[in-house]
Amino acid sequence: MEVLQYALLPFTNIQLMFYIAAGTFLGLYIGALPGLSVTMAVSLLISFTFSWDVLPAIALMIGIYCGGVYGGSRAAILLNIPGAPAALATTFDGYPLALKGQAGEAIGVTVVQSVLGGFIGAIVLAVGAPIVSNIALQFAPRDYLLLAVMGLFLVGSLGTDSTPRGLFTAALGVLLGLVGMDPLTGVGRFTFGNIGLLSGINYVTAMIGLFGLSEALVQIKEIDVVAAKQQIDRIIPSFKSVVKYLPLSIRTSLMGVFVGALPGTGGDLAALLAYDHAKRTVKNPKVPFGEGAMEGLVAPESANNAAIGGAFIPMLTLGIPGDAVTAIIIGALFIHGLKPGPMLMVESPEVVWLIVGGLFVSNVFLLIFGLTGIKIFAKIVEIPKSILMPIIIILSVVGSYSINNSITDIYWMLGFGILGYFLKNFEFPVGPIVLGIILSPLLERNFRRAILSSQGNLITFFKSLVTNPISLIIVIVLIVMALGQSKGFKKVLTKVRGS
Amino acid sequence: MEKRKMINGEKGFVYILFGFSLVTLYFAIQIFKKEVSFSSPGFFPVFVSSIMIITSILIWREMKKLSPSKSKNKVKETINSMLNRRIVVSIILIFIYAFLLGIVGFEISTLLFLFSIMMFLKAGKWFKVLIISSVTLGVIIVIFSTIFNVILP
Repeated sequence: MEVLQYALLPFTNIQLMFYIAAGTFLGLYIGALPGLSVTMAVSLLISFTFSWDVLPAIALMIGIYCGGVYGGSRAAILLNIPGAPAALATTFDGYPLALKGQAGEAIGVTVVQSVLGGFIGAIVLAVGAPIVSNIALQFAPRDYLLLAVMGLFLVGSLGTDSTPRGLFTAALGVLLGLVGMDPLTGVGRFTFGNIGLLSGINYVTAMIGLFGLSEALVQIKEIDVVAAKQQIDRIIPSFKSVVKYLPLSIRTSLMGVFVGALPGTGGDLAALLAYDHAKRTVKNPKVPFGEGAMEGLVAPESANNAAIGGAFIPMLTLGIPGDAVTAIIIGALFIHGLKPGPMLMVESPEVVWLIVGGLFVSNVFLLIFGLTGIKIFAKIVEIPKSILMPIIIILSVVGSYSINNSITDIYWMLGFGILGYFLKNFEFPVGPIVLGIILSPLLERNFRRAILSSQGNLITFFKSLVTNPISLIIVIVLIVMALGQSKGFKKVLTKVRGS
Repeated sequence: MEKRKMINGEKGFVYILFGFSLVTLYFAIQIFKKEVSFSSPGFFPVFVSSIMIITSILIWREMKKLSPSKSKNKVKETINSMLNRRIVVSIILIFIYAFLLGIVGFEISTLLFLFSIMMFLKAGKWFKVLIISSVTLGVIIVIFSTIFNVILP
């Protein structure tokens, strides 16, 4: 009964409903504007909302997350630029549809399918989170260590074409997370005698620099690239078309939730896998895939929004983020004194169930905002980068300052922004750095605890990994994942698919 | 799938990352030497730095398989693309802005920054840019001071 009361909070509390609605609206436009990302928006938002109560702050973030993941598809359809990485697969058929003058229809279909996917994701989260949380209560420190390694491995290997590049940036993030005083012994690490560094590197500053400023710099570099505009007409899809694509939508939504729930993966991978699934299973589409097939929009759009619900499962139950945005939301929970993990459901059930209820409410608003206001939308998308990017820089500066009211934090943010600019230009993913910084204390703490419980003996530690059922399962999954990334396996897979 | 071309300056950047990883390993070993055990504060930094070294070597090996860049003057082209005038001036303006924040306060420095960077990025004629900068500043102050209760620099 108490659970239901918390889950219904976003429906009954007008203030929370307003924040979710405002977040969804903002998210939709942020996601749709090329150069602005949900990750950037949520990382900036942490610094602006940390003085708020936790529930309104989380409500706003959920709205932005949901709206933003959908919003990315608008730029993908209209400009052939995925507004968010999760909308990459949407460009394959969305832009060809726009070129044929069917942009309105394409937008309408993506709204409805995103909302369907979002609902399915929220339902699975509501059912799955308590189950996973109960299992997680039996986890030992070594299991958390393995899960965190899994998260870093996945984000490092799946977010980029080059596994070593992803793993390097993940390791760099972990190393940055180690800067400061060792929490167990008080020894200063990589502080070089600087007292200011003893408290460590502020991850919010790093996030704002890596996602906010660096993206603004990349956009400034490519300021001359102008995308073609498209005409938008009627966008509300017919009931018949919604029913027609429903089986595919349910299949790809479930796929999205599952992929999203894997630590470290997210909507981008879910969308690509769903697109691949649609391409392989839909026989004789009305229009071929890649030339404007509606199925090519249905699959990725339902999957990427469903992945949101999935991404919250490991975050809320294990304290391990499902993707970059949930990594940032974990940061927000820490700032508000909460500890995401199996105890969160016991200690702060209102936060967990607000997120579940909030996802439902956000999807309702997504349907409303997504199918209306097209004319305003067309105007906002036309804001030139030469105006938009300086504003992002100001927000990054204000955001990094507001955490500790410190000018030094602004310089840190600038440093991370410039680092992120170079990393992005040389095809290195920056997401793993942030995930690494956040997971660093969890990784080290659990590694040292596990070693101590093995009497400091590495052999006993490794033995415990294979003699314990839960640990053994995670080890096997990790080995399968590592093998799956190996070139030999990929070659075999390509051959099998080819034949 | 066609292999991408090596980006000008990419090799140098990977060397820098490798060098940085070596430096971090050196400092990690210094911490580890103070207490030699698997649960000591130095073991994990040594482990992570080693991963950085190994992965940077793997990146270098991967990079050798990329089709080489055909440009003749790589240094010049790296600077032209990565650190072109637009980026360098923007970064300098941001640093000046951060420096001015502590001296002249948020309002004046933000207005100056917005105006100068928008003019530099050719956002429009000076009066249009001035209006956009002023309105933006006003909106930021109202939203962040009143709605978000954020203390502005």
